[in-house]
Amino acid sequence: MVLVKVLTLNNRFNLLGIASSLLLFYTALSNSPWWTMAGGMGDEFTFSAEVSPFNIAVQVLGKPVTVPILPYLNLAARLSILLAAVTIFVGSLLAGKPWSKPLMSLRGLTLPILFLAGLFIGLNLAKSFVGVGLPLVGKFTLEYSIPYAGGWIATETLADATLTQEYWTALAAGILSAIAKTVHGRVSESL
Amino acid sequence: MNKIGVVRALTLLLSAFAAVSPIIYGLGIHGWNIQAMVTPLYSPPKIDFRLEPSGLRFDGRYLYAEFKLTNLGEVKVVFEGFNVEAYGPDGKALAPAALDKPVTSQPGSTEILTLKVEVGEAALSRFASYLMEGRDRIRVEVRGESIIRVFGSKVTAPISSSFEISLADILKR
Repeated sequence: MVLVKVLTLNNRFNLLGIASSLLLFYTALSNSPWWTMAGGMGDEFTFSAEVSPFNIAVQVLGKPVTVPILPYLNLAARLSILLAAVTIFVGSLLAGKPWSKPLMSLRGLTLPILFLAGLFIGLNLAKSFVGVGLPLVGKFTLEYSIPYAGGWIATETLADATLTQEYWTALAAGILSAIAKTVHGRVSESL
Repeated sequence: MNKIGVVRALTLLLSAFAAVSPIIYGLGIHGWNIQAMVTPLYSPPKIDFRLEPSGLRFDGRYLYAEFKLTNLGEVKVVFEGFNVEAYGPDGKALAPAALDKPVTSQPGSTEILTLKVEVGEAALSRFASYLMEGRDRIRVEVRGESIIRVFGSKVTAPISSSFEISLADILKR
């Protein structure tokens, strides 16, 4: 209970909530990718993907691959996290008010978890539809063959997939917001 | 309804609005055509080449067959090597051949691609036998695989081309 009092400046402000909301603001306003995959050598890429819930850019042979609904889904994700950041910030400043408890959102934590699950499902779908196994992280050689003129065209591409610093920042913000919500619950109980 | 209930309802309402309104807006802009909204759009770059014989020369025990390579596509391609075999008009293998040196082909450009055929005694006697059959020109076909680099990927693709060699070319040797 002492720790809760310290973290809330004697039940007035939820410091962890404020910190997590600031991280969530940064996460939602950043266009940096959470996950990248690039195949090729040097500065030439056969394909590249820069993916975050707020921005998705995919290129194959130097040409973009677009899905018209994606910018709207990205905007929805951005607005949701911005709203979560705002409500957590306001709730954290008003930690002494019992009605501030519902303002502490867990959306900041669910998004990085759903993102990872979505990536996992997406990569497995790619494996079953195109027959190409792509790992979530790590270096690998992508080998792919297509029939051509009675023979085969075989391609071999060195590739690398990474979860970026931005992803870990977003996950840290989410975990912090979950702890802040727990602390907030303790404050509400004590009021 | 108490204050907590009001705040909870308000945040739920705002959350739903933030999550759904961009999608509804997007669907509205695209005429509610859900299939078009979820279909990936991609137009791959054009990859097209023209390979035509442009000259022959002997140098020692090698025959250099030159080809004019015109890149009609939109992609830079580096021809790194050939693993091919030269065949006579009767389909019999004459000699192994390889790319003399790597060739970088920029879109819209024409480069000379030189095939180096190792002409040993066996290949020469075959040429002689073709000429003795009454042919004045011998059609040589090269078949095998090419190793090319496109956008940082190594591609192995089948390749086939042909050139003609005359008695005069052989005598020049």
